[in-house]
Amino acid sequence: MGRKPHWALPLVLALALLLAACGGGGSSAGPAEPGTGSDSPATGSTSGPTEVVVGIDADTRALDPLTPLDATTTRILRNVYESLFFRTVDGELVPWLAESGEYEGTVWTIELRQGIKFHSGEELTAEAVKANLDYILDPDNAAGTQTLIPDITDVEVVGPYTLRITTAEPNPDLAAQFTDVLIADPAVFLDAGAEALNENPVGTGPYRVENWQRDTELVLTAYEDYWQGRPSIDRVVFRVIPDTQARLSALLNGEVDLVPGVPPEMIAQIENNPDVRIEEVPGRQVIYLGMNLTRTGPLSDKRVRQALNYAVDVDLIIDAVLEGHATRNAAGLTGINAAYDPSIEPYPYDPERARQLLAEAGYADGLTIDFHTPQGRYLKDYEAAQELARQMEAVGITVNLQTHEWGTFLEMARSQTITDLYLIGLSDRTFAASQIDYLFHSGRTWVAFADDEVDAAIEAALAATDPAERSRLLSEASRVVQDYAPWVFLWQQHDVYGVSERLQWQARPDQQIFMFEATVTGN
Amino acid sequence: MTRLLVRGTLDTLVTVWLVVTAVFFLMRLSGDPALLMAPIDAPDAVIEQIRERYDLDEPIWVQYVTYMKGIVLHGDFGTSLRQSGSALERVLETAPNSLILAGLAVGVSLVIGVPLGVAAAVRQGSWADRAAVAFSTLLQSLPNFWVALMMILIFSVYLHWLPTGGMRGPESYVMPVAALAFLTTGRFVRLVRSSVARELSSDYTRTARGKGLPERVTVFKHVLRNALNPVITMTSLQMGTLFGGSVVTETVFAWPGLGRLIVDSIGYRDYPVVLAGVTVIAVAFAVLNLLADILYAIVNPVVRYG
Repeated sequence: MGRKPHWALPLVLALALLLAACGGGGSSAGPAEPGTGSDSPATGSTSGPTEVVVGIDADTRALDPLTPLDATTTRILRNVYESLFFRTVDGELVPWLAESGEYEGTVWTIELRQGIKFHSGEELTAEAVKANLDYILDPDNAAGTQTLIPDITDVEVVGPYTLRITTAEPNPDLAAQFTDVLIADPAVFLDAGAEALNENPVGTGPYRVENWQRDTELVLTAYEDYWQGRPSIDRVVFRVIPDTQARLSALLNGEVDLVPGVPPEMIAQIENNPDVRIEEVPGRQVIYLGMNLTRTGPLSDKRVRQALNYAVDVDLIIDAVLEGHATRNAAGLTGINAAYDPSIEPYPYDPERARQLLAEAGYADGLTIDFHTPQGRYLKDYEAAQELARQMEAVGITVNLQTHEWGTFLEMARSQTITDLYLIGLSDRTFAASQIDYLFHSGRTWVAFADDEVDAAIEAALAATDPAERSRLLSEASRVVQDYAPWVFLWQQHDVYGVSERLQWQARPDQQIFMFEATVTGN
Repeated sequence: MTRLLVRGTLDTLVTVWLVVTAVFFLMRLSGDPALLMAPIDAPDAVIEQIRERYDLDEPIWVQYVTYMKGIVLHGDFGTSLRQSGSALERVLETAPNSLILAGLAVGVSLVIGVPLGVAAAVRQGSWADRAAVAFSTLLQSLPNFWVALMMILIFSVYLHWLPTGGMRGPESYVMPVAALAFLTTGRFVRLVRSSVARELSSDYTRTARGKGLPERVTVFKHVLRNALNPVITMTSLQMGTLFGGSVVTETVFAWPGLGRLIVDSIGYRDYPVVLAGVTVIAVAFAVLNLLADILYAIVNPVVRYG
């Protein structure tokens, strides 16, 4: 009876855990101060290193830039590795690691800038670039970047800083296609494979990797010998905050300085706070309704496809569902694409015309179609799909709307087992004219139709070398595509960022978060 | 005790095997990982290369056998498909973060829930009892994500007391632990209350009271000891549940935990990480069960196994 009361045991256990936890917490805390050193913005300590924290929803897939190719990875790793060509913040294509690039026929001659050094101290030479391109183009390496430069047939070193690149067809777009092809130090990956870059990420970019804690944060520090001069911000942290509201809260609390992907309903929270602002720019992602035309059905009839385009009031959805944070898309290409023609008008909203076309196609009494959508993959995808379905019903189409988990959806859409209509987004990867081929030419990955007239128009345009002729033919090809109506053309998403007032940074049309261009002001 | 351990271990192995097998087939039949690993615009040739590289082109039974061999012979769960590196390492990196969170939350729940439950049971029908029941019901019915976001808004955005998330320093533990404790405290209050109340109306309590023992002695010496068994069970169950299932809390507070890792990995069909994760969770559950069994025996010597 003199023993301790037994009910104390769970408490002791809990306390022990508590102590263990505190110990663990202390040791794993690392730099204990959260945030950006902006905890006391009023004091404005201008001495000491400047640090900027970017709150991202998902982590980079790897530090190896050659193998994976997803938007998140590239936009982050851009700070560590660079490309031969890049875009200015306004979207203009400029030489970057390259000093110049010229083509004649199927041959591009690229001169590299001299004196650029990898973080390892090795110089960037034509040999190094060739090693990268050869690695990417070798099918056995399954490098994702390969899809950006599919038609390179040969890479030749003709001088220490000069490359001669041969393409299968004359390719004026090659410079633009290079903008997302990041170059790494071949000394790291030549023998060990690209995976070695995950342990030892060596590029030429303004920042080098200090530490990567997966799904937590990636810490970058300024590269002293960067070829354009040392970056003004000493440290950049990409911190993973998966929840959107929590990410914004971190911005409002001064813990992070930059947050991509602000949804429309949260913009007011930022605009009402004097310490933060919104940066918005039309982005890469074009949202559309794809149609599986490999199956026979009502959509095989062009009049039905056009009727769908007339039936939907896209401007209304942009206003009401996306609250204005999207731009109407007329024929698939984005506003800064080399082949974009602003004179091409989108299909007008004309439900009468839609009914008439349906009647002509023999569906005066209505028809039933399936409509598939992912949920939560794109901005307001499901809400928009519901409204699109409602508008189609208004012209006499019975719509069977179905949602799917993304993995399942992707498999159905890609294998073309999906039926009728599906809402999906594709990025304008390079803003090159060749995007039109990728989107609409038969046989391409996401093209679920084949039309000789469309193919011929695209081929003729891309084969033209005279700039004026090329531009005229590209515009013509877009008109042919629009008339064929292989999609219901919808909108181009805007990229909306929340930015702390202390950070001078401008949103780019290519989604890249390139911190060399940013500076931090005193407070 | 040895037989207890042996049987527990065997049970665990069978459970883990069943779980791994079920998850393997569910994951692999619900979608193609290669499609999710490649960029959406990758041509078929690239998808094929990825399938070959990760042996996804073999018949699924062959893949299953190869995979199980790797686990049994080398403890190798394979490489993460989403992010590079060993799948098991990824899981073992995050597991302690979840264990700490779960342990602290359950600890806090016990510290608050047990006294409240006892007080409520002893004074059944009083205002204190009703308040405790109402409080616990309220805690249990608030949606977890809402509580978490409200805490962030109040304590981070308005008051600037605490960081919104991450696992950096002691102050970053406060909100995630509180959010989880919100969920579990209510359960403990109700369980302890009903359990103590049942013991209070039992024969031995009447006897103890009848022979004139002070109420304090009756409650703390006799009633509590007997009322503790369900609490131990609940503690071990809650630990297990929170260990692998605190997905919402870990996501909202950007906590690098196991539940979040597994759910993210399911989205990518990153089955090596999911399998390593569920295995670790299954083992944790088994260990917790075993601990609970041992605790029963210690707390209440009448319980004997054999």
